[in-house]
Amino acid sequence: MPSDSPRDVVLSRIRQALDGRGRGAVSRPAAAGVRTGSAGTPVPPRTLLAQFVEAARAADAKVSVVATPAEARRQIAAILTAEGTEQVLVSPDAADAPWYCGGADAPREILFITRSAVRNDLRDDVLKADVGVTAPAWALADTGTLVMTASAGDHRLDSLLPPHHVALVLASRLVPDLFTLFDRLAAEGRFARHSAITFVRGPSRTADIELTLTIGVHGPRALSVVVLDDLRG
Amino acid sequence: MAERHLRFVSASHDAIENAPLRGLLGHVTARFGERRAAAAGSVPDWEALRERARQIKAEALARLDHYAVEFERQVVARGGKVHWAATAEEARAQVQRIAAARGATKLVKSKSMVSEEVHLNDFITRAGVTPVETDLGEYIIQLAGEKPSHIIAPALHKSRGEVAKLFEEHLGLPYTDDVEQLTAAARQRLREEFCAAGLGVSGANFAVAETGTIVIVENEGNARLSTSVPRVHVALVGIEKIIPRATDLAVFLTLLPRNATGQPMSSYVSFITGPRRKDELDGPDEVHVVLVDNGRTKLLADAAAREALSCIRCGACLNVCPVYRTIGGHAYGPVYAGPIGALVSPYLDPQSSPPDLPFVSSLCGACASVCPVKIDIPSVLVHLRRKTMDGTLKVEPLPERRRWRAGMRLWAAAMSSSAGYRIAFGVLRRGLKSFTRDGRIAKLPGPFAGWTEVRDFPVPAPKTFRELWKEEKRGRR
Repeated sequence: MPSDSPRDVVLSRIRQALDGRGRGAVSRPAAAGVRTGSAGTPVPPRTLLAQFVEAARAADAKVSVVATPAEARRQIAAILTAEGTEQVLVSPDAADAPWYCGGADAPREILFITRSAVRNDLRDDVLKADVGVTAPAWALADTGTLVMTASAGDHRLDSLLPPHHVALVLASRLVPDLFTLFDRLAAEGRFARHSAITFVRGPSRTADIELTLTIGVHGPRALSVVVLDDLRG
Repeated sequence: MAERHLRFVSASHDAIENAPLRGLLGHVTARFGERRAAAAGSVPDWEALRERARQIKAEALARLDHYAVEFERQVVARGGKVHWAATAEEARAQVQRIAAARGATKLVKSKSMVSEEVHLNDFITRAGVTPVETDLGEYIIQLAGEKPSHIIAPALHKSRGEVAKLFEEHLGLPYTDDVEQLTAAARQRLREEFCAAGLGVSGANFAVAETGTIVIVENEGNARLSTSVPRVHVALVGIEKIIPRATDLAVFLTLLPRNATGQPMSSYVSFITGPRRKDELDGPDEVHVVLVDNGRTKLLADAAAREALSCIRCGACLNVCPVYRTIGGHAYGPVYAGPIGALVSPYLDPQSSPPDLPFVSSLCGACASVCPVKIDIPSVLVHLRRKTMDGTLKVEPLPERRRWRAGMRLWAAAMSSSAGYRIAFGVLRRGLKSFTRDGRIAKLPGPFAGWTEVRDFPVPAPKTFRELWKEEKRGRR
């Protein structure tokens, strides 16, 4: 039965607007459509790694590539100590990785925190953290973009609140481009699974005052990416 | 009775004479333009992507009822709520009801043109809720009590000195025009606001029907904070933002950042699908999506203007428009400025639209050449001119201008025949010659005085093309 709820009003206006000439006048585009860059021919993983490093650096990220988990731990420790870090938020996924930076050989003077409470109300120790360490699910090689998926192992705010974000990326998790990524996200039902999927490319930035580029507005002022080269050959 | 027409004319004159404003406009739009051109040029199948984007938007609009219902179904399936708003009043009231139900007295906002369009801030303030803009540019203009002058650079018209004065006055920051210090001060103040707000309000760049996902593109991180920290997130979404499939995003996210700022990808893109899951720590407990019509279905009903709803708000048409680059965003009047604003404002913001909008263009086509979804802006402008003249598009009656119309009729009659053309131009050329001083025509009399008030009229060439052509033929013989 028709009613005058806003929903019915809007939907009936849409239908009226489309009646006659409108509806069906536009042909449905071919499912395949265009693709950019790598599409069609697979890009060798080594090339993806080189692309990612270059693109992420172009976005003002500090990128280092390491060959072993032990080397990754040393690299992260070096990043943390160089900055005089006192407190580090580590996401559960990053804490579970074999290269966990807060393990036995971690710098003693640094406090490592992994949040696990039901819902965090921005306790002081979270707000005070100098660094957030995360392990993004994927990264886009062509634009140097990290792909974070909110979950029990990847808290949204760990990569957002601290002024320095350190991301641990496996070279085997690099995806060539957006087309490949969205095919995968859709096929795996990722949008239903995560309340938020987030792209991160470089540090937070603005150019709202006279188009002057300024780094670190609301998000991190610095982004460091440590890539573990786990590719064979 | 032509209040908005007169306001528009005087605001444009003021803007043209405002040298600092024109300096800022020239600087910012030129750099945006260069960056866009470089970024677009680096994507090999850019033209194919534009065409694909146009097709996807056309498909979404042609079956909008289907996709809107599908979007709603998916948001609800993921635990979110969908509200519908036929008008601006309904959209504002929905936000207010949600705030009241949660007892929220403060809301943080990330940039949303729809919220500007429905004038949310004024309304919600009167309802006892304090809105805080968190995008740096929006924050600046909120402090100044102004509105955005550019879709993606809302405070483009403010110099660093003006921002410094605002921050000194409102934040108690000792005067500094150091952009880093100004930004740091805003960051600190707004962090407190994020933690104190009960509600986060955002817009959306895209809404995916297939998955019920809201997509927000940004550089600062304020949209991430607005949609992650408060317990309730409300997204204001125009119905035209709905696209069919998640995989369509690959096309739009290749085009949008490059066309808007020249970045291959913006710093952050958030894909939000419902409230936080049980096992997630951060994120809101409630996600509300308000689907806003507010004039969009009127535009949808006009098949010749409908494509204006494909706009993804990149702002590129503003940066290349000779009119926008001269008068800036505020002179137009409505929330949406520039070429795309001239198309959508009469429908989405008619109360602020002067009747001149479809006419404020030289139809040079620069806008259409950079549009990422290939909106034929000049053709739609001409269509809206026709509608304005025949009275089917009426935001405010145009001034009468009887003499102008009579003159135009005369001109049309003269131009309709070869003899009329020849005679009219003969008279005009002789007439113009008598006004030439020192090789310039700087002052014309009577009804033509307005034209020469701000520019010179070109001096006619010594011989017309027809005369030259005749001589040429004679010479060959």
